[in-house]
Amino acid sequence: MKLVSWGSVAAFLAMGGYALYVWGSYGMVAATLALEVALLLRRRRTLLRRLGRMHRMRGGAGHGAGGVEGGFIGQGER
Amino acid sequence: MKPRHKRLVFVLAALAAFGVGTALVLNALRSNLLFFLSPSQVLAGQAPADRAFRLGGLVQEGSVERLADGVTLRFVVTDEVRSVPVIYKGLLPDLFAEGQGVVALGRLGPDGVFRAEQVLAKHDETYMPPEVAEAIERAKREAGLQEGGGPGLGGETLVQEVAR
Amino acid sequence: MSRRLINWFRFASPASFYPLAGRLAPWFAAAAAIFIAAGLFLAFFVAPTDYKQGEGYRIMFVHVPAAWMSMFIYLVMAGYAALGLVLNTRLSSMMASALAPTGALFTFLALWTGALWGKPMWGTWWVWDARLTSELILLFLYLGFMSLKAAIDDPRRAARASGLLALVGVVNIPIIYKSVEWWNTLHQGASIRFSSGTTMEETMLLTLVVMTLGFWMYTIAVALTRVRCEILEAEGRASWVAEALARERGR
Repeated sequence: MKLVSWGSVAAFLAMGGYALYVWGSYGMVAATLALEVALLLRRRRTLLRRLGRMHRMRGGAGHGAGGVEGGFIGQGER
Repeated sequence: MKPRHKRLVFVLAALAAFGVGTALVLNALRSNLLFFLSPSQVLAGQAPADRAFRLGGLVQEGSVERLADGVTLRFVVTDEVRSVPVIYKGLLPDLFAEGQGVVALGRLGPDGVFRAEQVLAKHDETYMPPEVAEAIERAKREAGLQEGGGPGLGGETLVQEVAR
Repeated sequence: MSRRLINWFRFASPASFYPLAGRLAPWFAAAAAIFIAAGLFLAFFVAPTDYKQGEGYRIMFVHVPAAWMSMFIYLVMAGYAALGLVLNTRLSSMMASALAPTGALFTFLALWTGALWGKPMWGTWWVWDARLTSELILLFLYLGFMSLKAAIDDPRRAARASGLLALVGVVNIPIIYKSVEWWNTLHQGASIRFSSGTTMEETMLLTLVVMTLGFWMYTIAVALTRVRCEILEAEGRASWVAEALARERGR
């Protein structure tokens, strides 16, 4: 495998004069994918917090569930 | 019929209807949605006289010249059958070169010269390292083939496209 | 309906899919990280300079995978939507809506990177040629699907209406794919064809494939995580949810 010889970090960053376009593309991809993951994890966290509160209010169902009536749910876990 | 089957029939019918509809629309568009016209089409009188249109083809080898004012460019766009002279004043894309595909937006003057307001480069789908391009070029020269070009340098695909 | 199909339905119920998706997602996320890291290395240190576009063509290694993903994801999404419409399975509709935002994102990225590639090479950010226009329509289809789903309160009606929209939009996919052959476009033709090999250097092709695999793994990881959110939102009150959540907390 022959590697590209960039010579210097500055030459790598300059991308042969196309720095704005190349880094603008890769930067946008990185930023939007990271944003999507962050939003998704936040959605999940707030959802879990809300559901946790709700389940606690309904009498602590589920805490330490031994899977007795879990049926097919999550077999093989624990 | 069970409800599930009814739904299936409904979905399939909707799909079929939209499929036929789109096919008809596409067929109608097919003749009109030309992004650019080739020199042959322009010289055959297919170009609109009263409004701007796009002219597409190859920049003829050896035809690019700068006029005396230093900013106006004159070149010939060809589809290797007919050709149209173009004059243009403005910025050029990086890929603009002789033998390369271009799409120019502008109007055809009564003198038969196309006055472009915008010149875009059309490149082809070939990607390779410079050494390979040189090797191919050299092999072609040695085989006594025609000058310039290189392997599908924007040209061949464009010409095929235009020829259709 | 045969017994086997009914059993399969039960297996594909949200209650059994929720923990399964939870177990699978981290693996796909890890695979995504590995493939994308490898793809970036190939894109900047292995793929050679292009003979005509210099270093600027390296935009291709995110542009083409993003554009492919925008079309693949739409097909998969429409497939789930069709399954949801015909068999009336809720999980399929949920999968369709879990895929839509990621599909829209990749469509946006294909357009964005395309603009940044087009400006220096073609000389313009945007032209209304058939390829670019049909890709823009794809973005509107994704956004239409998502807003239609969000606009209807009744989840079953929302799934049906948005599912139908997703199916109708499928006609756009072959149009995008074939646009460069059917019409004169500024956009160049496909470098990789099923029939006649590629017009691209080998390591460039390898880079595209690795990057696309990375985007696929990313999409699966995100969609599985998102479908878990969809399930929780729809079934939050069910008793299995409390049990499944407690079990995951205990792990």
